[in-house]
Amino acid sequence: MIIKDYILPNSLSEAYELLKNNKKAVIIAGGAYLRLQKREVSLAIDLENLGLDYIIEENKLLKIGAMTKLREIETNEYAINELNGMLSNMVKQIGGVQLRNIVTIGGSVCGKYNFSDILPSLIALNASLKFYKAGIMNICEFMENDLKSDILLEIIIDLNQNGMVKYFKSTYKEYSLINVAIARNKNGFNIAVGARPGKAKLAKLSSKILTTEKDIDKACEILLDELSFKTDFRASDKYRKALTKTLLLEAYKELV
Amino acid sequence: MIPIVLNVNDVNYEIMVNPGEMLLDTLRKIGFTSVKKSCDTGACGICSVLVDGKVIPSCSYFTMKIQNKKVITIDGVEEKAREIGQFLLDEGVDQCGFCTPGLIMSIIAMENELNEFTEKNIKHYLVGNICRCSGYEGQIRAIKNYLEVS
Amino acid sequence: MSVNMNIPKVDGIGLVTGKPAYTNDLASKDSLIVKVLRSPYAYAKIRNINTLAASKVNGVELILTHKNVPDKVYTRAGQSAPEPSPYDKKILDEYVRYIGDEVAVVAGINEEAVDKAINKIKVDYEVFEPVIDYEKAIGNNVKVHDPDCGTVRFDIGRDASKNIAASYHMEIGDVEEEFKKSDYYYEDVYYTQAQAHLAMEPHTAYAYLDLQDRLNIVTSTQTPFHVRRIIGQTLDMPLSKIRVFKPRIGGGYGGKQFIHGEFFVSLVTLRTKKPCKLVYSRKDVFSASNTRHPMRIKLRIGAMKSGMINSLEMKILSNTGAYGEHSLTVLMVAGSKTLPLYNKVDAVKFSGDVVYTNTTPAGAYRGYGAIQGNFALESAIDEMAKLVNMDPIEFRRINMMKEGETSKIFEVMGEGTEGTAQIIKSCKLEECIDEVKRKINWNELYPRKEIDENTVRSVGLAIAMQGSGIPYVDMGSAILKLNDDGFFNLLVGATDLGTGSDTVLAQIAAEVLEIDTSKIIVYSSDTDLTPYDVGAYASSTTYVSGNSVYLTAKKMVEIMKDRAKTILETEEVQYSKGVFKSKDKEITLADFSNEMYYGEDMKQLVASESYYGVKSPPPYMACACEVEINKNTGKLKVLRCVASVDCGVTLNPNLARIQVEGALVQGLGMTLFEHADRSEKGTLYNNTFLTYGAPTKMEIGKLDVSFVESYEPSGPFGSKSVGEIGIDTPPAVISNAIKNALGVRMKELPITPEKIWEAINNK
Repeated sequence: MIIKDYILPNSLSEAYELLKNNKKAVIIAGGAYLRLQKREVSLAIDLENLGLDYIIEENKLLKIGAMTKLREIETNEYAINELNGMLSNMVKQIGGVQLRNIVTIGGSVCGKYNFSDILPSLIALNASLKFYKAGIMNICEFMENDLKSDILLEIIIDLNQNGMVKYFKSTYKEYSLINVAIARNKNGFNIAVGARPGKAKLAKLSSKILTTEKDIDKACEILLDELSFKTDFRASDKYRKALTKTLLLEAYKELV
Repeated sequence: MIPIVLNVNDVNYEIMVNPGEMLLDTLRKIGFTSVKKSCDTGACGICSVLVDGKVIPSCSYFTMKIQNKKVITIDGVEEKAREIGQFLLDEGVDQCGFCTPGLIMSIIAMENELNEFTEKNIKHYLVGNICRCSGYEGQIRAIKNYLEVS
Repeated sequence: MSVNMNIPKVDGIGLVTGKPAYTNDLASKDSLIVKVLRSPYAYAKIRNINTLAASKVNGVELILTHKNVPDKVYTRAGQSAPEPSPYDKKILDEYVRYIGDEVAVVAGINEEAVDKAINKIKVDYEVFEPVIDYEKAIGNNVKVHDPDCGTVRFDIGRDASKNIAASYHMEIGDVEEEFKKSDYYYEDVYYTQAQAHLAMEPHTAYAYLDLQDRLNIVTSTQTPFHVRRIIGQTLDMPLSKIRVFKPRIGGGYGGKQFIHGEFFVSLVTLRTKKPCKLVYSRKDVFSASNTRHPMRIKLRIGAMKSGMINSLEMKILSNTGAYGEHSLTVLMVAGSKTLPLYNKVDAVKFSGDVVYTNTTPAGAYRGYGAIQGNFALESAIDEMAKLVNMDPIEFRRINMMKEGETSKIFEVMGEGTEGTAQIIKSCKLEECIDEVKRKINWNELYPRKEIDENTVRSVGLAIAMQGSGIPYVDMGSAILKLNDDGFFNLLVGATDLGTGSDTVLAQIAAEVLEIDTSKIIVYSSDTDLTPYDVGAYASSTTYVSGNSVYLTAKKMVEIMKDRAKTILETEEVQYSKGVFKSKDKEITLADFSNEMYYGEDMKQLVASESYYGVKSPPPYMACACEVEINKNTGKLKVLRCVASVDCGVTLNPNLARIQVEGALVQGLGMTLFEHADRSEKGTLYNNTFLTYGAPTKMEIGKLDVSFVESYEPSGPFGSKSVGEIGIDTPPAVISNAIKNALGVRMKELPITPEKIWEAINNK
């Protein structure tokens, strides 16, 4: 990545104005993945100094600032003790400790990476995203739409839930071949699968079936049909489906 | 080129950097050749340095982020490096040596951060430090000896 | 006592505290930056290359293309002359033969200028259809090399018109006749992949002109003397004008046993008169340095009801990629360092072709063919054991090499040429197997243990041999110089890759001189200041270089004793533990050395000897792994890996152990995790650490490496080499374990979870 200019604004409004007024500008959160892209950037806007690095609990809602590092989430007491430890577990094998000390949850979410170990869990947990301009929206809405020129501030998760995340990797910290997240709240179950190799998606139909019929095998069959699985150089679609089935059954068993 | 002040091992360096420069390149430019470039993707741990006490991959960290923060390289912890290094030497795992400064910085960070030093915890914390020479077994032996855990 | 002691590495403290030691640390700050423009096509001709705009970029000093560099062919392989590799590479060629092949070289005052200039080079390619699949290479319409270009130093079976880089066959007895007699017969085909070395230091070369206007090359290499010769001969420069120095390097494993950036930095420095350096990017290391030779190995084995193997055949197709470095020799080692393990056969045949394809060139890599051959052979041995209805360990025991025996293969197969007969004077394979069998709990775990309906545990075992240098080819030498204060400089050409050879060689000298290792200061791998050594490969350092140090130290003792006679005014003198004694006088080494500099009859004492092997005594090893397989996902976990090695006397037990532990993990990496997937067009998918599959600390459970000591009479203090043997067994060990667990034979590396899952579901 070639960067022509680099600014660390001291206020959100400053950051937003810079973003709005500069074509080819880019937001830098951690920067670790972004820098691997081959492109020219007119202006890098780094959110380092905006105090978006926090994890607080308010009325059974967990609010995670977009600039919070993955390692902080891994070791945070809420992430470990709430939601069956789902938030801590989802980041545990993303790179090593070094990488997790600079990669942020905001950057991971906004990147919408296919290989993300984070998105399936956040989707299953029905997380909300708070943007500077666009306000609060459900993560699924964000995943389906292209948001232009905005800054992610915070991820909000309802702690009145239980969750389980399972991923399959060849070596310990490689990109997952598949990852499966399942959460249960008072309304029922939510299942999301990522790295299919396509990016994480909520399996709406399957989640509904599981909620109403409590039949995990049936829900699994429906999920394998509902979501698309493809073959790439890492794994075949058949294998991904088999892994999904195994991981989902495992996750469900441990959740209930 | 942008002028910045970089604090490395408690010394302030006033330098000019390219906007998109990575901390690793800046450190080597100033003269800290102890920080090495290997995978250039944050995936091997070779370039590990401490920034405000946290161990990070300097190849993936924009230098512009570093202002008002303190960077420590192995040159700034010479005594500790020799101490830990001696345990590595006693096992013979200082083979090609390329991964060792990054490993030692990570061990220093680990010592300050963890409360429990089980083999599992140690391996998990240091999994980001790749070594091709030693096969890791000897490194774990050395680290356990250093931490006086059996 | 220095031998068999865990002396810490002499450069240890400097390395662990991050002192400048590697090529990129030593390159002067004003070095020009050199980068390479690489081909985006697997096979193309450069119809036109326009560097005008690029040369106008501010800060650009020189641009090299095929139009302004010497047109000679050479081989990049770091081997003794005459090289058994084809001369098929030009410094820069009109043709590019793989994605990553060099198109142009740019030197400038900083990275920015060079990057800018590279982007401005306009190349007009005529793109050809490439040949990517090595199984389709022979006789393909697409010819990777023009049959009229390129030469060989001697016949290696090259036929570029068929895309064959090298070819070999040998037969002892008549295998077909013997197979007819066999009571049991097995044959199958095994595949291995293009493993990457993954040395943590990327390939780096640095050059400058010294005060005598000589070209100095400081480079991350395993073979400084070969580099000097190849550069000099190809650039038509007298070798006296070139110096090559190897500083500390961050890993080699064979990956730095070839010319990488040295030609480019040499030409840039010679033409600009300025220092310059070329540091490979990690992507370039993956796709444009070299890899292990992918191989297809057909194994045929016949045995009698008695359990004795009567006939053995190994037939190989090896992929050397775009250029033929190490093509013949790796092919031959696949047979010569595996088949002799079963020396009681009535007939054995080995043959193979090495083919060109438009992919990353293959080259030297620890094991050097033996790991590929071992995979097929040791898997086949387990299969035959089953047919004969014998325990696989017992089957090996009655068929394998024993101390005092020999194999006809030794005299037939060398490395590139004929071999050298040898009687095996040291072989503790039996004890190695016993040790491993006991430690892995073979009797309890074989063949498998069902843990629950989804999980099964099992064990697998394999044995291996390697060599200790190449007889009559590998030569090493040493110079010992006595200083005042009673310490020595030991100058060796031997190349320490981080293995600790500097330390081990100091131990040998210290043992002979009966002084502490700290009194031996080693300086190595400098073509001006150290005597010749082939370099670090073929497991030659401990055995060949070590013997030269042993002889040199012995000579030094003689020289010193001779002088001591004069000083002590005696006809007879004894030397022991740093003291010279006559009947009634004595003098310490320190005082003696001061006399040599400042006394009455002054003399600088120097001793120098060389050594080349007349045999290549193999180290041996047995290895077993306990694995656990999840039948739903196919994931295989290595719970324990137990190995027992016979490398003669371990000169430095710690360093020997680390060599084997490191090699085992590298071998397990090739077996289970390391990917080399290529698209049909030839693009390498796994060209970063993010996707390659490097083994981490969490992959392997427990490693248990121990040594069974034998005594090799021809080795320094009874030692043999140990650098490569550790890597050979894991593929067969794992394949055997899986066969024991699931009843399926995995024949293609890497054995991924998906492949295991597929095998389970296809049963």
